Amino acid sequence: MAILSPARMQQARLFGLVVPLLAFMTVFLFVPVGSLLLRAVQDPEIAQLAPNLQREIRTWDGTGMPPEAVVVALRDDLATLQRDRRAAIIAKRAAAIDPAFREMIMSAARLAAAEPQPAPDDLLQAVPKLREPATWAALRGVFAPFTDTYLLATVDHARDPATGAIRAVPSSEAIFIDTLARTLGISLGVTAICLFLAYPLAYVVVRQNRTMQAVMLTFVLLPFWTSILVRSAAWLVLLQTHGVVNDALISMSIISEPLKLVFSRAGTVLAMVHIQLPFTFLPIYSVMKSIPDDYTRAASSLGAQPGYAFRKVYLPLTLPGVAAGCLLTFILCLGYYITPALLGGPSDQMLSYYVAYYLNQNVNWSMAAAVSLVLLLITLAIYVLYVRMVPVLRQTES
Amino acid sequence: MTPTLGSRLVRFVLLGLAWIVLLFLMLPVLAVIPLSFNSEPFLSYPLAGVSLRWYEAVLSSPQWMGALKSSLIVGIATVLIATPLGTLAAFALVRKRMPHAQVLMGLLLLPMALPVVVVALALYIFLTRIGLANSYIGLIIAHCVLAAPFVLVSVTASLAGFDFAQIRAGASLGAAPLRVFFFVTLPQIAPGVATGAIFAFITSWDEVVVALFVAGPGQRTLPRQMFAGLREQLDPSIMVVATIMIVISVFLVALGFVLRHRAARRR
Repeated sequence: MAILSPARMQQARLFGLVVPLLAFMTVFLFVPVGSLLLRAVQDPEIAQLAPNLQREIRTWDGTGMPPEAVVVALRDDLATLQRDRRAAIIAKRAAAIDPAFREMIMSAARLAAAEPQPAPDDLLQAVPKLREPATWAALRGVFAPFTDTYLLATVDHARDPATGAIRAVPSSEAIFIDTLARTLGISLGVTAICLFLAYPLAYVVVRQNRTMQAVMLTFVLLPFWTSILVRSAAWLVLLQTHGVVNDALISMSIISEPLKLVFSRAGTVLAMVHIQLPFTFLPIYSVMKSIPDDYTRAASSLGAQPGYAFRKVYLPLTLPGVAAGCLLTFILCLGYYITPALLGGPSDQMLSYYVAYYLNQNVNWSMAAAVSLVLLLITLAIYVLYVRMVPVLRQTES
Repeated sequence: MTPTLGSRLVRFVLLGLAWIVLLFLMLPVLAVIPLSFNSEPFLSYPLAGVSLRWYEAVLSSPQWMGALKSSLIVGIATVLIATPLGTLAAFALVRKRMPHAQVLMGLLLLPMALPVVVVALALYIFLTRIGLANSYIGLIIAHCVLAAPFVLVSVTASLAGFDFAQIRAGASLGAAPLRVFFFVTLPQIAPGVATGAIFAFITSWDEVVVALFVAGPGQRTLPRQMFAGLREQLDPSIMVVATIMIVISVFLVALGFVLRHRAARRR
């Protein structure tokens, strides 16, 4: 057994303290998220349902009609599935490519399970659609061990079933580029508004005496620690057609008809700003608190006008807080789901909505995984930036 | 140097704007509370009258009370698991000798930054595969993933002023490591651990997306029940639950502040 030096021993002991949490996160976060992402390019269910076909179709180059072994594999797998009454699952997968494939798979499965089993050629004769090379090219996409179908779908592209060439989907079906742009746009807009409100607020708060600062901070922190759901609910109530905000505006004769504030972009953004503002404010406030008054005073004693001193001395010193607050707000905005779901209309939904949609309504885990992958990549890129800019950990000596 | 009229005006305007922003933050939260006392089933001001009928309705509703029970079970279990996990890790990560501490911290804080829908979906698929979807254990595991980073943050913060030489001193006087931990270390960092535990509880108490994805009808938590209610019909009983959630969160956070404040004075 190797003998560790005392320093190594201590490192090992320290590492031992991190192991429980690290193991917990690995098992219950990193592995699940990893295997979720794998689902975006691979369908583990297909391998289980159609093992023969998946193996054989890999050996075929995808041009013309496939060799007989592939047809035999399809027949055998479908026969097994038909007896287990699970052929519909495969039919559903195939129907995602072309709705006509559902009936084709179901009738092929019924034939394949018959006694005696039909010869491969007889199967092709009985199901006309199976005689088309384009069908097989499409099936190859469904049953291949790895597929780019779902990832392409997240950028509104698909493979042509006949040629395999990548092309844009018709604009009537294209939703994801728009949603991605909307997600980034709303996040950027909310971040900008938050910064615009938080910076002057922090500037004012740090200049108050201790008691006043405590009062003002309570106004920021009490909403901050109220659940996002409760705050979204509050806005839903306030912004309703006959809600508090509309009533107030009408009674002040500012408007004559109630405004449509719920199920709108305005309502969504308003509630998001309300929820995110403390996240932007707190880092800026804590940086401003650490800047001594002397710096700007020194600048003005050297003859700088207040505006010039602010721009050249104070503003640059606060930039780390601004960066931290904005990055944090932007990252958190990207993943919003509850607030747009409650306060937004159909055209205000963000990427998270589609993850939930593909899980709950249109049960398609691969598509949900592909959308997750896009969302995750953007988030991680900004998170890495954040962790590098803002020290997440302050260590102590000894 | 006396401030000019111009700079005083700027200061006055800024102060006014700051209060507008502060009221924008606070008022929507406070506006919920009186609505829960409305005697009529409307959610608008002025109140038709003051009554406790919606409180009575919530307290006698098996659905809401079941949700309250689920929330408490999951919240307390989350605290009991996430607090020790986060505390132990914090202990090692704040030491200068700990290798790769920044990277590890970055990894362990990821649940705070990841889109919660993605975490919820990943856990749903994973828990389904191991047969724990729609179970208390599954929901508790999921909430621990989200809550542990909060424990980590608040315990590492409370360890910032801790003198690790005391541990060596304790050991050199012959105390066993566990004895040192319970009699030397824990009393000093207890406020940080307690704050971490409070934040862990609130994370679980307020959480709705994971509960929506991972929990079954048997584990409907308060936020989940509230989300369903918001989409079906809005009535003051939802405002009652919102009020209860606000009061509990604020009470717990205030408790955390008091604990830390008292500890800071004792130092």
